[in-house]
Amino acid sequence: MIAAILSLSAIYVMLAVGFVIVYRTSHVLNFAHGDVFMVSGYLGFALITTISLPPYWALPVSLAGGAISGLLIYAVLMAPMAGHSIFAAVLVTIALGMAIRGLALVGFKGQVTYPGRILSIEDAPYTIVPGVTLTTIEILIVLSAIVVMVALTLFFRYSPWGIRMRAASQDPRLAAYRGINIHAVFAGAWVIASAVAMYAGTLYSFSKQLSPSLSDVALRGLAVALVGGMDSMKGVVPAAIAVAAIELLVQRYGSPQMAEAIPFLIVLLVLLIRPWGLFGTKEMIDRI
Amino acid sequence: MGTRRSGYFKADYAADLALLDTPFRRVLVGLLVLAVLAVPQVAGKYVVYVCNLTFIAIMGAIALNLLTGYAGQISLGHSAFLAVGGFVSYHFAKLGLGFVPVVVITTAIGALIGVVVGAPALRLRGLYLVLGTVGFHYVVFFLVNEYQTSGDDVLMKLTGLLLPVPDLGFVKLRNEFQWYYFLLGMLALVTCFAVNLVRTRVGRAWIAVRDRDITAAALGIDVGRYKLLAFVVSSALTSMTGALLAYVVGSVSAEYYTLTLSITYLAMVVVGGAGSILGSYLGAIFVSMLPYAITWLFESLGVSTRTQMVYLVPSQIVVFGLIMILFLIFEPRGLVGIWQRVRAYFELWPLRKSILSERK
Repeated sequence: MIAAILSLSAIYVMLAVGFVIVYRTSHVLNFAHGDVFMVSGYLGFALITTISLPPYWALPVSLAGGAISGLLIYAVLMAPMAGHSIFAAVLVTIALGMAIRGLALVGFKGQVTYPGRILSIEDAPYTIVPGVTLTTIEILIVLSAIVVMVALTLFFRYSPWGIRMRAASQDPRLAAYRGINIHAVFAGAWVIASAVAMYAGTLYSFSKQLSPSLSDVALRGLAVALVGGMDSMKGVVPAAIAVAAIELLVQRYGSPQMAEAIPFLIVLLVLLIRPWGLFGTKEMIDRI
Repeated sequence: MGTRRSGYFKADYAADLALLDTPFRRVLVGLLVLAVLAVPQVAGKYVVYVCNLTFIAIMGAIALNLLTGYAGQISLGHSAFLAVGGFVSYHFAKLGLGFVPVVVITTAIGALIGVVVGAPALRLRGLYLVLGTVGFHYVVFFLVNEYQTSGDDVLMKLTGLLLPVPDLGFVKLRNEFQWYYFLLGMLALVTCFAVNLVRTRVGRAWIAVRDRDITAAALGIDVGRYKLLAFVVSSALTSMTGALLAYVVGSVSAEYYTLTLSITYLAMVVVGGAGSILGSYLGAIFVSMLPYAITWLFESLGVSTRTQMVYLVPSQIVVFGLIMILFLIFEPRGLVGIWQRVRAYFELWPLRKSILSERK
C-alpha cells in the first residue's frame, strides 16, 4: 500500500510540477498537459517497437522529445496568443489537448496495451524496508520524481534562468523592462513542463498500462497542483502524497470508479474551503 | 428596400427595442422561418432527426455561450450539466411524472446545481472556476455511472436508461416530425430569452465582467454575484436541453457524457463566435454538420466502410481541435466575425477600408 502510494504520488509530482510551472510563469492553465502525457506513452512504445530501441533508451528520448514539443507548442500556439486574453490562451490549450487526443486515436487506434509486459522490461521487486516492496520501474519513478523536484528547486533558487522565471511570474511587464526576455522565459516553462510530462508518461506506461484514459490520470495531476497551490512548488510533494493516499485508500475500501472521481471531489472542496491550496499565494486569487 | 443603414435613425423607444430593425431583416427572417417550417414537408425522416439534434445542439450552445461568451467563464462542465438533465429527468419520469413537470423540475434542479458549481465564483476570480467545472464533470460522471449500473435491470446497463414517450397533453411526441415542431418552438423560446437577456441589465453586467472584472466592480457591478448568476442561468438551460436530448433520443447512458462532449460545445461557441447568439446558431450548425462532411469526404476518397467506422470519430476529434485552434488564432470572433465583415463590405460598397468596417 505504501509502495503504491509512493509510486503514484511520484507520478503526480511529475505531472503537477508541469501545471504549476506553466501556471505560475504565464498564468495559463495548460489543459493539453494530460494529453501530452498520454501521447508520449504511445510514441515511446511505437519508437521502441519500430526501431527496436532498448526500452530504457526511450526515457532520454522522450525527455528530449518533450522539450522540443514544449518549445513547438509555445512557439506555434502560445506565442501568437501573447496579446490576447488568458481566456483565449486556455481555450487554445483545451483545443490542442483535443487535437492531440484525436491524433492518438487516429494513429494508435486507441488500443490498450501493457508495454512493460510486452517488452518484458526487467521489473523485479525489491524490498526497501520491511513492508514496502517496489519494483524496478517503480523505484525509477520515485527516484525520477525526487531528481525532478530537487533539480527544479535548485534551478529556481540559484540559476539565472530560474531567477528570471520567478521574476517574470511576479510581474511580467516589470521583468521585461529589466531586460528579461519574457518569451524565452515562457518558452522555458513550457519546455520544462512538457519534457517532464513526456518522460513521466513513458515511465508510467511501462509500469501500468497504455490507454487513451491516461489523459484522465494526468488531469488528476491538476487536482494535485490545486491542492498544493497553483503557484507553489513546495506544495506539490505533500499534495501529491495526500491525493495519492486518499485515492488509493478509496480504491481499496470503496470502488475503482470512486477512486477516479475522488481527486476531483477534492478539487471542489479545496475551491470552496481553501482555494489557494496548501502553500499557494493567497493574494493572487483575492476576491475583487 | 432599406437594406443599407447609413445612419442612426431610431426616433422612439419602440424602434430601439425592436430586434429586427430594417424591413430587409424582417423579410429575411420571415423567409427563413417559413423555410425552416417547410423542411419536414419535403425532407425525409433521417434529415428531420438530424435537424432535431441540431436544434438541441443550438440550445446547448446558447446556454454555454451565455456563460463563456458573455460572462467570460470557461466551462468544461457542460456535458456534466447535460448528464444531470438526462438522468434527473429519467429519475422523475420513472417516478411517474409527466413530460412537462419533469422538464420543469429538471430545469430547477439544474439551476440549483449551478449555484453549487458557481459558488466559488463568490470568492475567486480567473481560472480557478474552470478547475471547479473540471472537478464537477468527473464527480457527476461517477455519480451517473453509479446510478446507471446500480439499477436492477441488467439490460439497462448496456442500452442506457429508457425514457417514456413524452405526452404534452394534447399531443404525444411520437415521431421525428412532431419533435421537429416542438423543438423548433422551444428553440424560439430559448433564443428570445437569451437575446433579450443579453441586452438588458444582466447581459450588460456579464459583458462588463468579461471584459475587465476590476472595471466592472468599480462601476458598481457585484462581480461574484453576476458570475454566479451566469452559472445558474447557463446550467438551468443546459439541464433543460439535456432533458430534451434524453427524450428525443429516448434513452440516457453515462458514457455519452464525456469531457470531449464539453469541448465540442466549447468548439461551437468559439467557432460560431463567443458573445453572440447568432454565433451559437452558426457554431452549432457547423459542428453538427462536420461529421457528415467528414463522412462525405471519406466516401469521395473511396475509403472503405470499415475504415470509416474506425476513423470517423477520431478524425472528427482532430478536426474539432484544429478548427478551434485556427479560429482562436486567426478569427477570434468566429463565423460571426466573418459574417459581419462580409456584411460591412456590402453595406459600404463601393467605399472600402472605412473605419466603419470594423464596427460591430
